[in-house]
Amino acid sequence: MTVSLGPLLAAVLLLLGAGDLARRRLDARRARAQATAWAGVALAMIVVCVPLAGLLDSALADAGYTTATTLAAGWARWTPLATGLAGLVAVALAPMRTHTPSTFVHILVVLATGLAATATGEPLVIVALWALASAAAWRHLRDRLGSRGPARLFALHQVSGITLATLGVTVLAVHDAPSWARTLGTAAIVAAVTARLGLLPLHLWVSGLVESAPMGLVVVFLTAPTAPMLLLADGVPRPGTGLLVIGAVSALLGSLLGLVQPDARRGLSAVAVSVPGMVMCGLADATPTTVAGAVLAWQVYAVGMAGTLMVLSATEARRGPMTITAAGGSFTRTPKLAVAFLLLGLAVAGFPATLGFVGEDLLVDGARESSSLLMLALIVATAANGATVVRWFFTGYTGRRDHLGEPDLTTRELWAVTAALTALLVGGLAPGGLVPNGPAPHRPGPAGGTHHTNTATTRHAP
Amino acid sequence: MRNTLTAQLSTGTNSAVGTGLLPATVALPAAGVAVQALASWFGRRRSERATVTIVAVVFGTVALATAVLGLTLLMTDRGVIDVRLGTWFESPGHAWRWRLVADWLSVPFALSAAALIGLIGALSSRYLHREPGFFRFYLLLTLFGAGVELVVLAGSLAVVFVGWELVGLSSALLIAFFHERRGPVRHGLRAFLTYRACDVGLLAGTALLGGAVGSVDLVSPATQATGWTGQLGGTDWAQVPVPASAVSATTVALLLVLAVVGKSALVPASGWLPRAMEGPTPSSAIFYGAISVHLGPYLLLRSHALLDAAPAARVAVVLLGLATALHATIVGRVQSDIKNALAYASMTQVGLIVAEIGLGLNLLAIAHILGHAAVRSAQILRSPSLLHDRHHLEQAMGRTLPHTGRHLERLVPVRWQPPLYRYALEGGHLDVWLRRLSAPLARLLQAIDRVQRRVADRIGGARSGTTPGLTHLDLTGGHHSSGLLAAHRVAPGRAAPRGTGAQDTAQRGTAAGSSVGGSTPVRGGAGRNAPADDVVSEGR
Repeated sequence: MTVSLGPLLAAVLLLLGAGDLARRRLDARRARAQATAWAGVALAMIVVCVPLAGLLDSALADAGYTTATTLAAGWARWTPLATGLAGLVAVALAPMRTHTPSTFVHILVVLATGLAATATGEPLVIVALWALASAAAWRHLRDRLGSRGPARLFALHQVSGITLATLGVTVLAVHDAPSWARTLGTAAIVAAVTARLGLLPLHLWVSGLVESAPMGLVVVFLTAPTAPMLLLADGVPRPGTGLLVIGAVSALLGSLLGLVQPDARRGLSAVAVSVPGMVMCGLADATPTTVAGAVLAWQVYAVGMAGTLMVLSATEARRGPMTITAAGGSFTRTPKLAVAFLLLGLAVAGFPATLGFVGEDLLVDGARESSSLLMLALIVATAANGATVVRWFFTGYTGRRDHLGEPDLTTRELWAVTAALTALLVGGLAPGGLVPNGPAPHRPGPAGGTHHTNTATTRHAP
Repeated sequence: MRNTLTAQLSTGTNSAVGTGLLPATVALPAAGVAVQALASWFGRRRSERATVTIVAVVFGTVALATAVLGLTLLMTDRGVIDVRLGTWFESPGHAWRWRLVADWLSVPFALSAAALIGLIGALSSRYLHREPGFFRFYLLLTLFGAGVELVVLAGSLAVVFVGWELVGLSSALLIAFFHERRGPVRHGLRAFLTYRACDVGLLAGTALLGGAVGSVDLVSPATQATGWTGQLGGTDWAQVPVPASAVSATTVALLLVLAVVGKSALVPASGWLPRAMEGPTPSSAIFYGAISVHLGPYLLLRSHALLDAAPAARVAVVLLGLATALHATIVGRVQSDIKNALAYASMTQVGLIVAEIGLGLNLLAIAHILGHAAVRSAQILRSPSLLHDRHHLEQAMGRTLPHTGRHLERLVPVRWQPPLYRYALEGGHLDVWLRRLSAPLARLLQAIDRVQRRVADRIGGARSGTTPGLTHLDLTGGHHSSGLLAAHRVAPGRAAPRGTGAQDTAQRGTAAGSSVGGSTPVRGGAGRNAPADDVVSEGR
């Protein structure tokens, strides 16, 4: 098993931070400041690893550590960076009104598991990290919302998913397993991924979570790359048509349902079903173009959706729920919140001049080679997601002259949002080096044998 | 392996003038957008004069550059200046390349667009002086200019799509420029929804074309299919490539026509154009009188060879154009507001232009576009002074101005006039038809959403199986008042268990996340009635 040290050390740092926060009894404001600092340091560690990776990898190889590398290479090269940035946005924009000190502890734990998942290509480790993240999130949900309702839905889906994933990975790890067992193992992993990402029909927990839970926790759980990393992990065969259909239906139906939602949280939760559906289409299609598009779309989703949801949460903390019946907001009063919501949301929806467009273009072009219907589904989903974002921009941030005296982005929030926007807009201008690549993902089907294709653990300098 | 935008400038047979100036016509507006956006984002104080100067310099330079490109074409007797800027991004099976083309079609459009945007920018400095959204207006105007130059100078449909979307976004945001009123916001949203729905055609057409032909780059006139012959039917410019299969050609052509329907407000998607006049008058002039509405015909002109290979699409273009012209001229007769009347007049002319292109009268269409753009933008710019101008004219003439349109009253049989009058008053019932068309989809989506909420409540063991009402999918305008179903009020459930955190979040939540005790979800927000200082101190 090859391990990427950069994300792993960042995850360890976050766990230390979580422990420190849990030990010290800070108020919410100080807890947020501390959590932001820990998330910032973890992100900085990953950023520093990028230019030093070649040098450090050579040193590690010279020292005989052949199973360790600085950063993952190949398809998942930039995933730790996107995950770390999403985490930083999640804590920096977390409103105190909805985030207690214990929330920040759980956020750091879940973020740490997400980063650690990018450090390895071992499926069982990824499933274990998923279980840890789910447990941390569920515990917080139970404390805040009670054991019924959204917490129970969340727990049911995650426990089912983790159980299926464990079974699937275990079966696939048996070298001489019969073909029917391998088929069942692959199906179990497909079902597990469906539950983890909230794809149809196992998507019911997503909207409940987005509406009820503290948004920072929601964001780090939704944007953790557990499911994509599991599908790209060693020994996991190509998921095939089943996941392709699930992804396409989720992408299309999720995007269309987003258009009829009566409040912004539910609208964005529909987008949070649709975009992972598109990502799964790309991973299931498994051509170099679609996989590149899927991984890039996931990274954009992580950063963009984190930003969009957190900006929404910050706005709601300032002036109340954003619903279709509410009277909107004053753009003049909060222009930066409004613009951040629009741009981050449009990046998630694949609007041109953002990095999201690159992922969407690769997905659409790759899908066209497989099926025109799939391509059309992805295009319609993209259009509807963009419409949902703009609808809530207009509904929530415009239409009023008066205001409550609510402030615009604070300095801390401004810099976090600026970092996310810079990644998505500057990345959109020069995406050449950001497009994931790796060996052709021609993995054997469920009936065949498996071999290591996970480029996340391939050793080469980024 | 990967190239970037800065990679190669293919010189080929192109002159240094072309390779230098052509990218500048797109890069300069983009740089103008970046400068203004950064200044706005970081809150730098700017003077109105500096902003206007930036816009004037940018579009003045672009106009100059396109004029030089035109002269270069003229003097070198070349048909096309083709600049390949390199690969933006690529994967093993796909590459997205920047390519720009200056030819006898793009240069007049690019030149007139730059000149008009520059002029509108100069005029707006007085019109919008001390307006709160002054800098926003110029930022969006520059973004629009960048999008337009991309569309008209694009050397491939992929580049067209990028510019096309930027134009659509800037258009919607400028319609909602006066954002403190609900009307402009609704109309901006409606325009964006229409664009977004119809742009599916452009993206799908581009992708299908790439699959059928292998490239979405425009091809030189020499390799295009035989065009519609006629004295006014010249097609001496780069064309969208044509698939070998007639079915593919027809499919792609119809998808492109769908994009044109949205952008140029052809029937049945024409309802957004009169509503778009809610924006500032200068932007109405430049978007809906001059440039934006003509981008659809421009795309059709670029697709002339494709239309030749797809007769069904050509017929559709003619019919759509004529139907739009007829509809708009009838409805425009009953408008009591000058900007609405001009919007319908603009729609009429665009319909005629589209029909001309469908009939193969391309040179006539180009002349028609350029003339219409100049006249209509001038009319819209002058529209706020209509009454003053009329009185001034009547005083000069010494009599009242004659009533116009009498010839139609003589031409149309008397028994047809009442139904036509009703048709005009109802806006051709297009909104009703669109609403009826989208209603089944909306109802289906609402039903699905209701079912999944109930299932979620059942599985999650919610305290009450409530399902708040849904909003209509109102694709015809997003009228909140008409598009809402009030949420059902339900009996409050048992008190939620209180956790360690904020109690407001712990208040409620069915499994689906909906509120139990009220019509809107109860969350961590302060709510409208909360004291402002409380929101400020706690919400941050």
